[in-house]
Amino acid sequence: MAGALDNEMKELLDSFLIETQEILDTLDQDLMQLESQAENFDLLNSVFRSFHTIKGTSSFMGFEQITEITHHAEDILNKLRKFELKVNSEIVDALLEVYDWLKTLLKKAQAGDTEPVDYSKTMEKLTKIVHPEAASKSAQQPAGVQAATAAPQASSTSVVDSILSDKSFGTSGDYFTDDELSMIANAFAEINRSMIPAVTDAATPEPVPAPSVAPTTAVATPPPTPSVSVTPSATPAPTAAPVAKAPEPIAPPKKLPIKEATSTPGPDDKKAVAATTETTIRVDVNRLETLMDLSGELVLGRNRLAQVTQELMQRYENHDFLRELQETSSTIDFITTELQSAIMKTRMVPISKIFQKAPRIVRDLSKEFGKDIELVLRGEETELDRGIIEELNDPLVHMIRNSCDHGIESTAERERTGKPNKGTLTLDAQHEGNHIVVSIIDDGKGIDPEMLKRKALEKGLITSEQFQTMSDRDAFSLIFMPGFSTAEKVTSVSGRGVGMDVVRTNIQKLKGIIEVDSKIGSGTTFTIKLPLTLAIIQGLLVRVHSEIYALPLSAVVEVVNTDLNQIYSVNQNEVIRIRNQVFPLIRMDKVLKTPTTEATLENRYVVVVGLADKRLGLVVDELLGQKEIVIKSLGEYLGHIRGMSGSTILGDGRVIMILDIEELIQAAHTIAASVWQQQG
Amino acid sequence: MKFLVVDDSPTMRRIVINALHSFGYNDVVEASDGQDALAILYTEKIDFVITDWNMPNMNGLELTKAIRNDATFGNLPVLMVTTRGIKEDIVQALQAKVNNYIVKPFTPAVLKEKIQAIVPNA
Repeated sequence: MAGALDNEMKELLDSFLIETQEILDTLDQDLMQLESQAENFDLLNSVFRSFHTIKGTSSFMGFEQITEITHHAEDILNKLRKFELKVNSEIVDALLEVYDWLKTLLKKAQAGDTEPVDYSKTMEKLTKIVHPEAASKSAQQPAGVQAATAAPQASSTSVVDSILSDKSFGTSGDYFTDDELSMIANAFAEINRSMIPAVTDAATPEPVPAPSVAPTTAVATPPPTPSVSVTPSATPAPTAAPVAKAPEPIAPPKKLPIKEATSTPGPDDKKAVAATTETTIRVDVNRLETLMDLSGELVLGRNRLAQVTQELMQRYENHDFLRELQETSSTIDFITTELQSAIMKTRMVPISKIFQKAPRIVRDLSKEFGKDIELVLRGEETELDRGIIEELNDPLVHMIRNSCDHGIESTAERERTGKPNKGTLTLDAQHEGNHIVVSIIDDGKGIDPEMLKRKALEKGLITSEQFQTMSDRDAFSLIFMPGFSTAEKVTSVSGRGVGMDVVRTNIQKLKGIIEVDSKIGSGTTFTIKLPLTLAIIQGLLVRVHSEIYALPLSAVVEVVNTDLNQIYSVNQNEVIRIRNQVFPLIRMDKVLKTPTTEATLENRYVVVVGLADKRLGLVVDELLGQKEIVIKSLGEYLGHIRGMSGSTILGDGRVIMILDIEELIQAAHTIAASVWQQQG
Repeated sequence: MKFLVVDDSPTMRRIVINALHSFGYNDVVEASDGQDALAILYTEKIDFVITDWNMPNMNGLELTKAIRNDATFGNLPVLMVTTRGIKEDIVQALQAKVNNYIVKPFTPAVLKEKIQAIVPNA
């Protein structure tokens, strides 16, 4: 029994968390729109409903702080709806603060953390907006109200009527007094008494004429007046001049509009609603993960089947039976590919999930720095694996902040340099083969590589030799070094020296590549290239001695023939120069300690791989082509093997290792450091 | 007794429906706003409506008025779910002839009480 209740409670909590998250997802956008569309009553109502719903559901779940703060926000929205307040940026700021608190509180709720937060400052702001005059009068109010309401309650006429005709009923304070509440209770009892006979009749459906709705029984009343016409003054007229529509569409005296509007399209509407509710269902992520795993296994099986079929075909040419097998095999091949991409799609989330946070960040920062920044979003519908989206969030948010903070100049500075006053920040996402490329482009002042190098030198991050010889491109990469910050002064958003380092770490975790391109005076572009998904990847198969290894294709920057003229030795480490860029070189046969190591580099290949901002050349014996590979972990008994990120099974059943680019690059780090010294 | 639970919040509907189930009322249909609810009322025989106030498209008050104006189900009991009563709302609810209102958050016991206050032998 208790178990069933617990389950019910857990389900409710899940439902609450999901619903509230969904509301919050659109709430900040709505709030910001409200700032520019103060007259948009539908928008106002929708914002109101968002807070209202959260308040209602949270009160059931026992999240008192959520209930309290949404309640205060709702008070403001109520005043806006009644035209007692006008939307201004102070109000939007305060409501956005509430939004931020709600996000925090929801996270805590999710984590089961019941420690209360201190949002008293926000509460003060909210209270000040609702009660600009010091809230001191309220103490005197209840007494007066009681006196006013005591009399009508004693009278013997209909309670409903006396409430409706008492002009002072419910006109003071925000809430009813106890006396008023008990009168209301009586009034409802009265309505009920008048309807009960009809209710029991309703069991045997017998058309009851509408007028009988009015009180008919017991209580001595004046003739049943259609209550709508008695419009009591208890509903206060909007104090501000009603500019747009009336707050609550007042129901017309006859049944006309509401019924007409709804009776005809009614059934269709229901169908429409039913249809929309049925097109999406919520699925536990673990189930999708299982599907993913299974489809991965299927891909392996398919590869094996294709290979075996091929071999059979070669051995027993033109056998009819084999042709059938081949057909079946290719059908399975096709279906598997389709199935796999379909399953992959279930995990895909549009990048708008992150992009939609940008307007708020840009708005707040523009305000804080007194800059005028236009935000352009492109390719918001581009989809990415959900896990990648989660990891990408922090770096992207950080980079947006960075660009607003010290990318785009102040209005004054822009004017001085003859640029348009308004700076532009563009977020762009697009597919490129099996990758997604996200760019953050600003038209700000750009990054000065000399300045970066100077800073790095001051901080002791590079040597004076490196300072002399470092290329611009490598200089840009300095911003990703731990402990490097170029902000002249520390602001609330940047200058803490942790930022870009964290960005790099996260991109690295995603097996992505990040590149910086900048031109002094005209802006900076950050380009992030990420794999679409982490479970199944495109691999480049290479041969080192007699072994085959796979490299994630997303990490491959380019492949070149070894050109002995371009390979130099620096401090006993080899480097290769490709189009004026120098990369450390690693001979895979040495690293992997294959039995016979050929001394010559001739007729071999260099695969240039990259991770985040780092690049490295790997010397391999042969390129075997591109294959879709399913990453399998090495299992517990093998644990972690240096330089390997996992394994996969080829079509012929051979197990091959997937090289871990991150570790190889780390291993080459010492080499890289010495390379910088010699570059130029 | 067949209940119609109207609320735009799935969580709220769930809370109400769970409570109804615990009283043994298993015949429950749900709607996400007033229009949706009316559509159901035109096609199904409903004995009791529990509706939220604030909903998109058609709110609970408009729904109640539409119910009261209907020739066949004009006397249908309507229990309005509100948050701690903003006065003019309650007055409006009275005018619209809502049978009773219940303030969020409520316990299942209070919900049962309110239902039985309206339909004693339910």
